[in-house]
Amino acid sequence: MSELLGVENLRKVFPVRASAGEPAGDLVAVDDVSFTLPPGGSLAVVGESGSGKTTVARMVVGLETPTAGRITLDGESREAARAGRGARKARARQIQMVFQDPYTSLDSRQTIEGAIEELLRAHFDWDAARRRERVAELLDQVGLDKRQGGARPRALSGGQRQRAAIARALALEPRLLILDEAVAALDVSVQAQIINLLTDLRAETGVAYLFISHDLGVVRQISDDCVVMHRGRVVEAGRTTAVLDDPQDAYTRRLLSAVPRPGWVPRRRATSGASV
Amino acid sequence: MNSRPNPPGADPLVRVSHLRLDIPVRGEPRRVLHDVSFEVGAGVALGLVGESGSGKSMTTRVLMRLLPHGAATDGDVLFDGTPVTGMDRRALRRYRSSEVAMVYQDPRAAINPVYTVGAFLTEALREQKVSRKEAEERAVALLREVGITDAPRRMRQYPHQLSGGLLQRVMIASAMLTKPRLLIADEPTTALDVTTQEEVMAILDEQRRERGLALVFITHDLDLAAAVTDRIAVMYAGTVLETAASANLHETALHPYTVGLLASRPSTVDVKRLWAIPGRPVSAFEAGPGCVFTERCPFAQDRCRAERPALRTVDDHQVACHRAEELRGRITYEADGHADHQHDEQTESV
Ligand SMILES: Nc1ncnc2c1ncn2[C@@H]1O[C@H](COP(=O)(O)OP(=O)(O)OP(=O)(O)O)[C@@H](O)[C@H]1O
Ligand SMILES: Nc1ncnc2c1ncn2[C@@H]1O[C@H](COP(=O)(O)OP(=O)(O)O)[C@@H](O)[C@H]1O
Ligand code: SF4
Ligand SMILES: [Mg+2]
Ligand SMILES: [Mg+2]
Repeated sequence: MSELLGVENLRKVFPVRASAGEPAGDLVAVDDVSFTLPPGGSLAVVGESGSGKTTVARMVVGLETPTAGRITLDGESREAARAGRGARKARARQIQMVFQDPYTSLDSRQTIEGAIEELLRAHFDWDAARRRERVAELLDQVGLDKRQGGARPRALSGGQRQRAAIARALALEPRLLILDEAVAALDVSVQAQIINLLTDLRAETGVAYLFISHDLGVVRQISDDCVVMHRGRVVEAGRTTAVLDDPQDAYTRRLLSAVPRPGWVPRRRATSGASV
Repeated sequence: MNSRPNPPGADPLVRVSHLRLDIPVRGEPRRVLHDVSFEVGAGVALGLVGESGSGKSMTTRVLMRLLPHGAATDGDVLFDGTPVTGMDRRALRRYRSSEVAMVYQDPRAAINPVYTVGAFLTEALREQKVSRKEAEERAVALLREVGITDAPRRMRQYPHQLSGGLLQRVMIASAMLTKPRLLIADEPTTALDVTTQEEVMAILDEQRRERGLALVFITHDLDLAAAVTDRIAVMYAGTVLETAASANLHETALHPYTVGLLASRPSTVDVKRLWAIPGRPVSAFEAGPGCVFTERCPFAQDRCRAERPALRTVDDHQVACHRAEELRGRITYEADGHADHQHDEQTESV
């Protein structure tokens, strides 16, 4: 199988300062994480809060330096890309990120069209007409109309803002889109629209997703494969259907059994109160 | 879940009818609740479900009579037959301190960070002239009841030293201290991981059953509400659109919005293209004169746009839809197969 993204034995340790009776020490946020993602594939990283999902994403996109381990894109390690400025810029284009809060990637003073246009200008030698055409194409792809394209982020609803953030992330035709809880804050009815949109966009453009989520229902809709993280480590990995239909690890089973569904009865665990 | 309906003829503990609420925004009154009606019997759990901005939290604030300055209400809010809106200061104080208790989504915002858990828990009891020793004993006993094993140590800790899940249990314990008859929980688990949510839900459920409390449980998660309550009221744009027994809501939902919500939720057991309700949720003040769901409803007709449907009884549901009988059991939402996400077309089998 050809490979777009490779992550090998990734590790991230954060130093923690002493506080309120707790001594200083190291916090192992990510511990020996490995996975691969084929071109056009969709891999979900699932796990509870603090399990290390975002830290993995931040290392892949280059916002954080791994303590150990290797990240490769098309088989080339990311460090190699540091070589030249042009190469770095080309590389940066390949991976884009969409966050839970679309304000993170949108400038509040700029219209949606303006923000995308500026991005295109920085990366391509296109004339204004060509840029305008591409902006219109992107807005259409994510289901925003002309008026919404001309609006500032504050004037849009949460779902429209997330569509705008996705349009911006797709502008440079990345090969990998990292989505960190990108649908978590949306209302159910709007979340369904964005899930369908993401499904269509992958089919249309061949972009690959690294999809970070704590929601197993969403993960089932969006990913081909998944890794389940718990306290920085991968406890289970495989095809999403296989992992969710027949989980092998006790923690995965625990996660699944906690999802409310018809007939579900919440249960207390024996270990209640043990955790801080 | 086994429901405990009131004896016939008895008044429910809480009765909200035709509640309307206007709040001033830049000097102008803005409609926040249009027409909210529901009942909660003693010992019964009601789930108040809706998307953000539908008016769930505002409804609870009317129930607690904790409204912003200049708010104007209309309609009835009765607690045990007494209008909450008409209570004088003394009655209101008694009502808030011993009849009803609240648990919020963000416990950190509801607790004073400079008090220890112990000081926080015993404060209300001390005000009621309970001795320090007895107050502490009762607090420790309650912490144990909500599954906090090392209670004496937790009593000495500060809120920031506790995880969100533990802190929410402290809040539940605190709500139980004054032995209320009604508990209002406003998205108490929304900020928690699913595994922690399950624990907190189990404790909440256990407490309210053991004590025979009435519960108003607010959430945007229809599956969660259906699993832990007896009845569900679905809210949209400041209006209750449907109420139904939780146990068979999935099979019997009548309102096109309720059916749509159920079809929108991605399942963990199968993959199919989701039916996405087109458009976005509207606020109460944006709704026109007709049905508040018209703009997004695939079944809307001229009458729907002109005339607002009242909440009325159909089967054992209450539903605010002109076409409820006609559509009963016949709403099937099927998403289109192709990539036309701008206006996902729904096909109706009606
Ligand atoms: N810059 C940092 N300095 C110190 N610790 C950090 C830093 N970033 C993350 N951590 C810690 O690393 C662990 C993993 O955090 P991470 O944000 O990756 O979790 P997550 O799985 O994304 O959680 P969530 O679902 O809450 O977003 C946590 O214990 C977190 O507190
Ligand atoms: N203090 C306020 N002043 C004016 N409008 C408000 C205020 N608080 C809430 N609203 C509006 O009232 C409506 C209902 O809000 P809320 O009850 O908080 O919704 P929910 O809890 O269902 O998300 C929303 O349209 C919201 O914008
Ligand atoms: S009244 Fe009309 S618009 Fe409203 S939900 Fe019923 S069919 Fe749809
Ligand atoms: Mg994260
Ligand atoms: Mg609310």
